[in-house]
Amino acid sequence: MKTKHVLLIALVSALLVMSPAWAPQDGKRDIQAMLVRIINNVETKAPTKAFTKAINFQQLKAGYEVRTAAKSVAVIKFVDNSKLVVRERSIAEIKGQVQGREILDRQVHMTKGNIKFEVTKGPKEQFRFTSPISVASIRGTSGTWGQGDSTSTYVMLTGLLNLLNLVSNRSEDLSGGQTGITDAAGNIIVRQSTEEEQNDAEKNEEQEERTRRTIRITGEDKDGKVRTVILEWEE
Amino acid sequence: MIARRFLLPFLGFVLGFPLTVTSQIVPIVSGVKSGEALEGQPLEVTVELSQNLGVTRVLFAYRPLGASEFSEMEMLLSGRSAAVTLPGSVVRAPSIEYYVRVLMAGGKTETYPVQNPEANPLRLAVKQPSPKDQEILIISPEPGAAVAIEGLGIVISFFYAPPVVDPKATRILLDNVDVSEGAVLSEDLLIYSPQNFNLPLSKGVHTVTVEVKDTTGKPYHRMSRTFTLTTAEELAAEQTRFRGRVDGQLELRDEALSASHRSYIRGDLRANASYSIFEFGGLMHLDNQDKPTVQPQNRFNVFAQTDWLRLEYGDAYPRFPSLMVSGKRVRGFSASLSTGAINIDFSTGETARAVEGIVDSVAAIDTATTVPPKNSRLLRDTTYEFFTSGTFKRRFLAVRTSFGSSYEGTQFGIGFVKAKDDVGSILRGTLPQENLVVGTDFRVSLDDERFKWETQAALSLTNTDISGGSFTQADYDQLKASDPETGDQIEKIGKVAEKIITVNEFLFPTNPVGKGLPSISLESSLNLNYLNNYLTGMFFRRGASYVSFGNDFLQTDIQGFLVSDRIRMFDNRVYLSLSYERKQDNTADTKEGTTTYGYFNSSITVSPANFPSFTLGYGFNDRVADFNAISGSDSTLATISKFADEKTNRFYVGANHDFTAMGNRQSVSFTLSIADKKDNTFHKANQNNLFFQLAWTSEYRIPLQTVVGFAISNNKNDLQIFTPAGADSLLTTTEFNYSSLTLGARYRLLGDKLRLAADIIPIFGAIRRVSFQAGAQYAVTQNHHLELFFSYIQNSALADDMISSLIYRFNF
Repeated sequence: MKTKHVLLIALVSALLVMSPAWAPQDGKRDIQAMLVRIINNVETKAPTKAFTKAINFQQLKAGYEVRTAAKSVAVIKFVDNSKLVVRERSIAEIKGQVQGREILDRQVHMTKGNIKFEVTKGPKEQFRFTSPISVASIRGTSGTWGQGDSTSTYVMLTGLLNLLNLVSNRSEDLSGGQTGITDAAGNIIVRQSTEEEQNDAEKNEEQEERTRRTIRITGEDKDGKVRTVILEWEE
Repeated sequence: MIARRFLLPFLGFVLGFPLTVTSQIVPIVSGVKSGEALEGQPLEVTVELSQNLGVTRVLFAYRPLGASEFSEMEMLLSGRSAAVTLPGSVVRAPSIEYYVRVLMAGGKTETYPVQNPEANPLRLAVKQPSPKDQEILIISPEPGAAVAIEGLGIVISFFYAPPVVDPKATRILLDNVDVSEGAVLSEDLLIYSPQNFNLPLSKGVHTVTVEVKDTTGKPYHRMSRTFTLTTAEELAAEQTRFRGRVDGQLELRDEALSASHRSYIRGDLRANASYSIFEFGGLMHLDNQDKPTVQPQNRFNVFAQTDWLRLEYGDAYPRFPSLMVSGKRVRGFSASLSTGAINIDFSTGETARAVEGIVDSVAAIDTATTVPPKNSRLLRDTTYEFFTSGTFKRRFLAVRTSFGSSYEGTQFGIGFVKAKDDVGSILRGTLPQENLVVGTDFRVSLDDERFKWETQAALSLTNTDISGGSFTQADYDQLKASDPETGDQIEKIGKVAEKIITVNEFLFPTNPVGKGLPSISLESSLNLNYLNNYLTGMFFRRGASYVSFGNDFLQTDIQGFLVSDRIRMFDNRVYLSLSYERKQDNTADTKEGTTTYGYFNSSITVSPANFPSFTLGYGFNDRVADFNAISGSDSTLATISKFADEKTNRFYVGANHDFTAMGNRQSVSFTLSIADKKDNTFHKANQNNLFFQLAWTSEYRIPLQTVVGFAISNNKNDLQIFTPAGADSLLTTTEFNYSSLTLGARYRLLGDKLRLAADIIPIFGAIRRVSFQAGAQYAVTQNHHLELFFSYIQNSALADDMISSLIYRFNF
């Protein structure tokens, strides 16, 4: 009987100790986003699964990856209306948690590619772009992020961004009209953007780019006259 | 009746009691219409005139919160209506105060409201972005976006919605068709995909309306979004091809008014196109009332622009620092180059066209004994014609060079404005003028424009009569003969200065930087947008002789400061606005004394969840002079008081409530504004104005919309009238009261292709008339619309008015 009591007390104690783990982590949930537009070949990957073809208005959650092929674009929107345009040949992973009406943490991790971002100004929420060499913290900002094998490049259209190099632990602030480049050697360079960089950052790729193709077929009509039929189509 | 008419004034006079007089007049402005005023968005305002005979200009005077002075914009007068578009920068919550000034031939000015417009102006409620707009977000489609049919999805985010909202009860209306049943709620997102339900949707403009309800089923919020549906192929082609849009309208209008009968033919054509980085377009407004005897009614403009260069030809409203140019129409060539490092703004043309004067009489003058007046012209021998002066053609040139970005960072600018009347442009004109303004400006904008400091300074010189040209050598010799030293100095300066402005005895001020810096104006403002506060501080000083022909509506001989704050609290549900301004005239000590003006305004707008939003406002303006005035020449009877000593208290209450009753959507709004002026001078010009308005709009499912409105305007003015010496003065009171009722209905037919509207608006009291209006809009095709409108106004004191118009609108 005594042993039973001890076991019972131990069980209750264990349950009490473990109880925080059962709780829904104070209402914490995975961040939610949506693919509101896909152009050409876009794939998504849920955690522990393989890439599959993406469809319009597919939901994305923490741990999902989005991959775009050549001439392909994916437009992702978050619940606060923040928008990411994942440009061609990019792989981006979404991470983050929300609690109630607050975004606790939101990250996009990219090892290679290019993203155009328009982040909604929020009272507290921050957006972080991470790569193996850098972390950018932004709030209410628009611009582009290009990630290569050894460099991260940010071209800012509006707002502020803090760029941290994970190798040297150096950080710099960027504002509208500036370009920041950081590399695997730990350097950070901040300078005024060139016109070409700004134009590229402003470029709207949310509409499909199609290639116009033409075939000319030369033959004779019923009267024996030479005629050329021109076939044009887009793909 | 006759006895009563004379007895009452007599008794009032004898007994010394306030006498009440009720006047009945026909106001020149019969109404003001505007669209929904949204903060930061341009707002078009139209003024309807009861008649346009003798109307030369219509000016819209407005002041947003934080300004004590009214700014004025000239309205485009077009027949019996005048229109103006307020720039988005002045459309600020919670409201814009305004009144209308109508300038008549002969110099008379009428206003709307008729009584005390500056003390108790009208208000346009400006909707700030509803806090609920931040709670429920339409994620897709984006505003005004072109969306491929196969890529259309409606996505609504409830992430920020409070617990009181029930996302599942949300109604989604796609072109007024309820599609809610097909929507899927996934966590915080509500999604509707039309292609899953084979909903037939044509290409073109569509509207999605979202009606959000709370957990008790009551309406919580409603929002709409417009988008254009197209095909993926068209979207792709759109990116690379030439894109163009043409729209316009043709109006035939007949106005059979009590005082006149006129027919109008007006046409508007607007075209915009883009190709690659280039945008170009133009507009044209043609009016059969355009004639050489009045300022232009027609308008035209063509432009071409890229991100860094804009070229315009025609009627343009160039933008320069406000001390130099503001709201001025220039017909000519304007250009703006913005490289970010160096920017150039340029505008040249004419701001007034030549209008010949009118001959009044012809008479002989003996020049040996009489100097012919300026408004006379020699015809032959001793015969002169006398005339009412016309308007000279005024040539205008403005140039500004600036360094730095126009948006973020630092910018320094320097420029000038030169305007000169063309003396030879008309035969019958007096006092041609010339004006020169040189100015500089400086701006620092940081942290995404949250910190903004702007300063501008300008110096002006004006010549009020250049008909005789600059001083001649004989004039200088004469000056030197009377005062050799001064004459010599004037000659040296004059010969240099005459290259930029006509130098003669009419040039003023003679010393621009003399006592009180009469020619100099300076303004400096600091805006801080932090911690939900929008704080503004401003210092201004405008010299007594400062004049810019590029800004006709600048108050001069004034200096003071202004502070204002707009504070958003409790998740934007409470919006507090405060402003205070204090200013003084007599900057150059040229007046008998100094008058001090104070202006305070405050308002609080509360938008609670599930409760009507309301605004409470209080403000005052006072005017006190530091010198006295005397009521008459007879010192034994005269009363002495301060030249000005008055205070006006203003109160405002407004509320709006949207709700559902018997399954129909209802919207009720009311406004009450009171102005009470106490004049402590011997004039005792006390004023009391009350304006109340109530409107109830119901939207039925059939689909019928009805409007019932009621308005009261009560105005009471006191004035102490001083009679000839030996008699007592008399306090008179004039009342001007009227009320109106509005009954209106709108009905949609044939799948929204046909819209019918009818209104009956009887007005009682000092204004007595009944207005009957009926109209129909028919969408012939998606790009062609017809609108028919009739208005019949039954006047009590005049013959009735009948107005009819037919409008054809098109776009491609």
